[in-house]
Amino acid sequence: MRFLFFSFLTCCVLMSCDPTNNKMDNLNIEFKHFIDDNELYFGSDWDAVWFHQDYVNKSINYQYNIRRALYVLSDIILYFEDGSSQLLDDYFFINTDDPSTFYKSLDVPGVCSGISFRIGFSSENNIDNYYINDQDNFHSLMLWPNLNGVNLFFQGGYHYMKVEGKYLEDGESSFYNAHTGPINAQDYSILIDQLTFPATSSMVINVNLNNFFNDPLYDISLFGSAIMDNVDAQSILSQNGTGIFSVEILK
Amino acid sequence: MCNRILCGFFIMIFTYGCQPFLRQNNYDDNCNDDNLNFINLSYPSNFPNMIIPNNNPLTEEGVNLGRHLFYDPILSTDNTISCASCHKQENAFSDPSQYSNGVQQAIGDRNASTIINPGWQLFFDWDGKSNSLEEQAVRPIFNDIELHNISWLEVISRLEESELYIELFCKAFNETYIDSNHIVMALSQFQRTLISSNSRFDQWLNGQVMFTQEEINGFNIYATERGDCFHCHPIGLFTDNTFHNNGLDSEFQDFGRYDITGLSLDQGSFKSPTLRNIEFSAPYMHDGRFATLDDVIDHYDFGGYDSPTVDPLMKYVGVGLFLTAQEKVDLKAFLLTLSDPSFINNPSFSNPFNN
Repeated sequence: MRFLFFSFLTCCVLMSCDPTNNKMDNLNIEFKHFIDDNELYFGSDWDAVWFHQDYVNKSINYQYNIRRALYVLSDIILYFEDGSSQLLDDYFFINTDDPSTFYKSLDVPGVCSGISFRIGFSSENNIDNYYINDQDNFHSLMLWPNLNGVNLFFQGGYHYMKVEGKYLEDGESSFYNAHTGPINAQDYSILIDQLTFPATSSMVINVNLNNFFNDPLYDISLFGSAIMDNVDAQSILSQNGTGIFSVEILK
Repeated sequence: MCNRILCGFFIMIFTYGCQPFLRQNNYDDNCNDDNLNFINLSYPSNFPNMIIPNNNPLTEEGVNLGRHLFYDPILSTDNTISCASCHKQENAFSDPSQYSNGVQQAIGDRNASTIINPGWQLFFDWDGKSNSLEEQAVRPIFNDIELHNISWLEVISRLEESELYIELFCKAFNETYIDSNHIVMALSQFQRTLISSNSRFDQWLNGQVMFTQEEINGFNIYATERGDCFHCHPIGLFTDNTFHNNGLDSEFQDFGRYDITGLSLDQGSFKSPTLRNIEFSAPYMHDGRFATLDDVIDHYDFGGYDSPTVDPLMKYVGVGLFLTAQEKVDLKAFLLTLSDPSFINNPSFSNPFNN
């Protein structure tokens, strides 16, 4: 009888110490991309979009389209309905050429009711070759060149964002590459304030790519097709964090 | 009773169908029981970790077998063509001919790819039809215009007639039979050792040599949006491991990646090759259309031809880069720093039958 009692007691103690016994919830996030009200479809449906989509966005002076967008969200903080929060160790990498990157699934210690993050990496996390072994070919696709002292505008690390497509001016179409990153080792990453929503385990983050260019207005034609060493262009884009992201919860 | 026999028969068929092709031979079970000598490859810290399948770790014995298979025409149906016939070490394991000859003088329709640092590649062949070295190793063995075998039985029968291969397979895999999986695994092991990381550029990064002013200027063109080579050929492995239409044509004869994915947007796209050892790997592009590096630089300077799928990174299509003559010289000077003579002369990568 004493043996049974002690066995029972031991089991209780062990179970209470088991770290896996802490309840974890699953949080599923999907990213969808828009230019204002027009949803962009990538992957198998993308062909139709690319070939038939009208140039859109009248608000930046030129009509344009988006062929691909790659971006990093880091310093992700999740806020839970019990008032707690968690800073994620990992970052999100979204690549519209690879729709599998649109879906994120996390184990979290509660039901999520808010999220904040940064577009790109902060200087302290934007370290040359630091993410060299990460998945989704991240390093090769996003590295910011390190010219080893030859050109101080490029001291390594990673792009924050790469948005590419064509714009239309005077009936002529031209390519643009809006690539942002740590030019001259300066931090141009963008902090996005907390987005709040009813507690959920499943949400869609809607990304209005148009607002990368809207506030203040970014003039694609003025800055040309290549802006990686253009301080003014980087500065304007770094201020365009408003109205890009919104959250839609799924029941 | 009848049902049992039938079930047994189906189980046998099912089990057999799941096996790699192998033939038990009559050799004694006298394989080398010594421990395999596992290899830890060394490479620079600015290379990612090489992903090696758990079921195919590198051993000295496996690499040696793979090296023999790579150079031996025994893998071709008429014993005339080896992997090395089209992937020549002196050409960074590519072919100086625009199109390569397979068995019976069959001619391919793409330039043979280089084999440089393949252990880090995510896709193989110009259109990325293979996703691993093991998968890639199978394809040319049965391709009509390459080694042109009909079946593994044919390949293994030839190998079984060779005392050399009975011994090498025994040492590498400690088995008395020759197995199709082991052929592929050995070829892949050898290719994973083909590491090039000792170019003049690598030495410059390590502070071992000084760049000339031309090379410095060329690097500044290469790795900024002036030349914008680095987006598709990023510093390190000098490939982004993905596919682009780089404006070679406005209409396509070869649809490239599209043939694999069926996505219209992939029409005319091909894998970005590494630019390491580009000095040795002419001619250039998937169809070997450019004979010299100057031709390549001229193409990008021109800007390329527009088409619905041309990559936005070719942002000066129809406009051009307007590189000056000196900038072209500088850019070429930098590209030549990616040459690694120790790679194309490495005796460990050479034809073992010449030793």
